Amino acid sequence: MIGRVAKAASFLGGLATLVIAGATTLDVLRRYFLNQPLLGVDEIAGFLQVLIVFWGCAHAFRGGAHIRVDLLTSHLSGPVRAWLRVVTLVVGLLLLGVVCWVTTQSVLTAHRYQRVSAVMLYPLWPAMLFIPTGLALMAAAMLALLVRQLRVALGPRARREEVSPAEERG
Amino acid sequence: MSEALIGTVLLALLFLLFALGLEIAFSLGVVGLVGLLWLKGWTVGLGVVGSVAWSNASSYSFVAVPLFVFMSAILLHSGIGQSLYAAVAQWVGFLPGGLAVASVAACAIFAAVSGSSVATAATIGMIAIPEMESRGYHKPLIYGSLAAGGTLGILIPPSIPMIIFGVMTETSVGQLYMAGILPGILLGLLFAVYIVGYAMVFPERAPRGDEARAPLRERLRSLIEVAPIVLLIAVVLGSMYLGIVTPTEAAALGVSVSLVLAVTVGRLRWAGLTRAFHETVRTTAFIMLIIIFASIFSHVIALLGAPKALLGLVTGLNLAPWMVFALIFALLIAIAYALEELSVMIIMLPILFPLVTGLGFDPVWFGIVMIVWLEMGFITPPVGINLFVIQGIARGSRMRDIAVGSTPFVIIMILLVVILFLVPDLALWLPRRMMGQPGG
Repeated sequence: MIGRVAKAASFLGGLATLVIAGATTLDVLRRYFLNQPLLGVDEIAGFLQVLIVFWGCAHAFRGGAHIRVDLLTSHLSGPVRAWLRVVTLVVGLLLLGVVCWVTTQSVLTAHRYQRVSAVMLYPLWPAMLFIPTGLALMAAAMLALLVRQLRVALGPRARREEVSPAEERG
Repeated sequence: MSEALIGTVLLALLFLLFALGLEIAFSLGVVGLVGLLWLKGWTVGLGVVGSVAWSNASSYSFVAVPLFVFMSAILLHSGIGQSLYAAVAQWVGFLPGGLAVASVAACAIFAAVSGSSVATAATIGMIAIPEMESRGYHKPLIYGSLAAGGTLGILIPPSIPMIIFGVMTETSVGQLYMAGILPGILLGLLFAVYIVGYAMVFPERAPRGDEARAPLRERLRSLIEVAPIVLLIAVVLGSMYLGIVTPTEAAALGVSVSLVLAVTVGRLRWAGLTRAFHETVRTTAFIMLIIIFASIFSHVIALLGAPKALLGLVTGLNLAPWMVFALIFALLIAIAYALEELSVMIIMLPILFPLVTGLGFDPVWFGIVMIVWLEMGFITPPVGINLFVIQGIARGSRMRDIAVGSTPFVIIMILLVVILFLVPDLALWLPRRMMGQPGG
């Protein structure tokens, strides 16, 4: 389930990239040939980039894209690595929890005070909402991995190993 | 507690988290958050986290990153660019080691439409590796020339790491792009000279074929095959050089033209497009998450006054600027053998940039040196990404062959840095001649 939602969110990020490219191309062509630029394209592009980055985080996490240093951990035994991963996943989840909470507060503040963009005066809160929602999805993917990692860490000693984020399907 | 002590504790925590295997982005985030709460308290500290996340992710200058990643992915999945190798081989194939020279030359030309070293190595490698293998070329020569040739993708504009460097240090991305052209061409030439020399010393490792016999008409016809690439170069680099568009706009134009070419001339279909979507989002999310959390970390570094203190410390040593630079570069080379370089660049820039420019070095010049350093890192084991790309393409290849084959090219890159140090105008001459650049 989390995998499917994360993949769909990533796909929307790809579509957003396509929209940015199309709108910006149209803006450049209109500006150069007709002297009639499309106003606000840069602001919309910035908003869509927030979607690309944060809604793409969960799928990227499941694909192992968020790199880690394994110079030291690769020399440890399987059970130690399994428990170390439990610890780092908990630390990562705590960080995501704080950032999710902070950015949700930012969204609520932007909504309450009707914060708008500098040029076209677009409301900011809908684009800001991509941040906590995307991070929450990533946290869900991490939580699912933590549960699997805990099961493996508590399971038979011979099978205790670090779990790959890509193994879970669906 | 003194600022120096707080800084030391935070750095120790950062390295501890790295060592434990926490994601690099999260490690930076945790240390940044702890530092902010320590120095500024709960309310102000958390406020900084929220605003940094939003301002970086919504920055228009960074929009060029997903666009150039997308463009590279489209070109990779459409097969456009693969005909480049055959065409180039017809022109330079007569040289000793001609097919390996053609690999480097094709990479250099493809680099002018690709901002990524991975896409460059993969696109050209998919065609060049089987060709050279069937000819009986020495495996380390095959793999080394492609792994190294691929890295030209980030020195010859467009370049994704240059966007990151430019936006993070407030240096013009357009000027960085122009500054990368001549060093990129020179590096390609140095690679070619090495390959020719190698093939002359060991002719049995690069057996000659019949490329030299291709008639002129056939060679001219091969140029038609590369017309899409030439068109893309004209659109992306030409529009930027003439000052008509910003790098972000050039990236958007590049995506639009590549898509049209990929569907009409190339073989991009729905499956390839969705793969390109996911690759774009994955790479962008990974890079931007590190940038966002590194920005929180660098906010703490700035609060502690670390860059200024380091500059004071270094100038107090009374070393000549070149000696300081040499020490920094030696340290960077050592790091390139241990860690993933793009992340290291993002983490270290807030400290290194003020230090190096404070010593009197030009920001654009330093940007080019950092990119050459990244290139080195991409082909040095154990984490050099291009080594893995080549291993992925060349079935049955051994990492040892790829790493051994790449080593001479690392030395050539160090030579380029020395040349850049002695002749800074190699990088700085072209940006000065650029027409009305609309900015970052």
